[in-house]
Amino acid sequence: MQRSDEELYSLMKKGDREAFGELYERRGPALRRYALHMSGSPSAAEEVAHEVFVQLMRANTNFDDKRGSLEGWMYGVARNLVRVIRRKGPVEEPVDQAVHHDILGDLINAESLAALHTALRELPVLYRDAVVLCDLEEKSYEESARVMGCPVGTVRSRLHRARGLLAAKLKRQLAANEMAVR
Amino acid sequence: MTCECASTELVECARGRTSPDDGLEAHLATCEDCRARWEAERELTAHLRAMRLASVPASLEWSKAVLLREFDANRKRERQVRWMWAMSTAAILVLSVVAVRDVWMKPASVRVLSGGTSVARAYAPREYPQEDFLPAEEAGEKGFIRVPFALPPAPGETFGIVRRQLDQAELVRMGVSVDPAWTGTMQADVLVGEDGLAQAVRLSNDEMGEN
Repeated sequence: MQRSDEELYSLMKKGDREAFGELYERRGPALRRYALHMSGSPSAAEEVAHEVFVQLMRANTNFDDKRGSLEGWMYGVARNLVRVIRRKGPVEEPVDQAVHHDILGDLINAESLAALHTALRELPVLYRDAVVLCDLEEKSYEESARVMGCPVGTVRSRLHRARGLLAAKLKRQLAANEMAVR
Repeated sequence: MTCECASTELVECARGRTSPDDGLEAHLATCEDCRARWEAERELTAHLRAMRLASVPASLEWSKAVLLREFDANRKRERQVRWMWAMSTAAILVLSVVAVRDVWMKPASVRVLSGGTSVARAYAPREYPQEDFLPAEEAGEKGFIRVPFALPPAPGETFGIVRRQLDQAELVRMGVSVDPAWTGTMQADVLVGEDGLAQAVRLSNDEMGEN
């Protein structure tokens, strides 16, 4: 039977490094992807995911399982860290990294993927959060609501609004790219 | 179906959460705006899926190893801090016991010197040169006899004089040679340091009791 995040956290606090490793394997990649989409920078994403776990292992971690899930806490920390990084200044362009890993190159070319990255970065944070959690991390509305700390209906409406904005931005971006090529 | 209803539903359909029902299909067939939105949503879903697949982390094992190393270092640090706390607590406890014992013992020593009815008077503290304290055989009649094993006075330390009657045992403890057959008491000025301990004694010729 799979142990919950909170059980792993509790074991980890008692010094169980296996539990810490398991927690990282379970949540680390998703957190890194989340930070990548939210910040637009692979190095910032790496830094954020790392820092979330560093904060988790500190003795004075402010996580309280009565106030919410560990997953929600981790995403909350990641969101704050991304905000801090973005406040410091513009982050590096993620396009090269994304293009390098583009395994659907036949279907979607690198140009449109880069355009999507740009469009996503330009979305307001709350909308970007909704798209990243619901569409890129494929979380349910309930899970996203727990992570974002808002009602399910709010997540749904933010996502719908975000997708509308994203589609429009993407269309404009692609049209601009096309014009530049001509 | 209104455009508003359709737009909510078509987003969910485009995301693959539900399938378009007859009502939505009929609306899409007649509404050009919603059809355009439907196409845009489907295209966006495909782009987002590609983006998701493109962002698979590459170096999970390396990051995990780094974090585990930090975890171990952190545990070591926490153990050291706990150990230091335990040692500090133990040290504080020991010091507290010593301090309490000293506070308790000090009045007792004062009692020995100032207790009873034999104290005649005490002089205000002042400095006495250490050279004035001599062994019993060199002190003479008016000199101060150095109490054996007394620590040398600290520079600038002041001494008070307590006059009292000393019996045979007390005189012996203070380094005074006493005739074993003598059982009386003798008046003496005891020089008491700031630590409350006798440093030297000066005998007067007034003696009481039997020889």
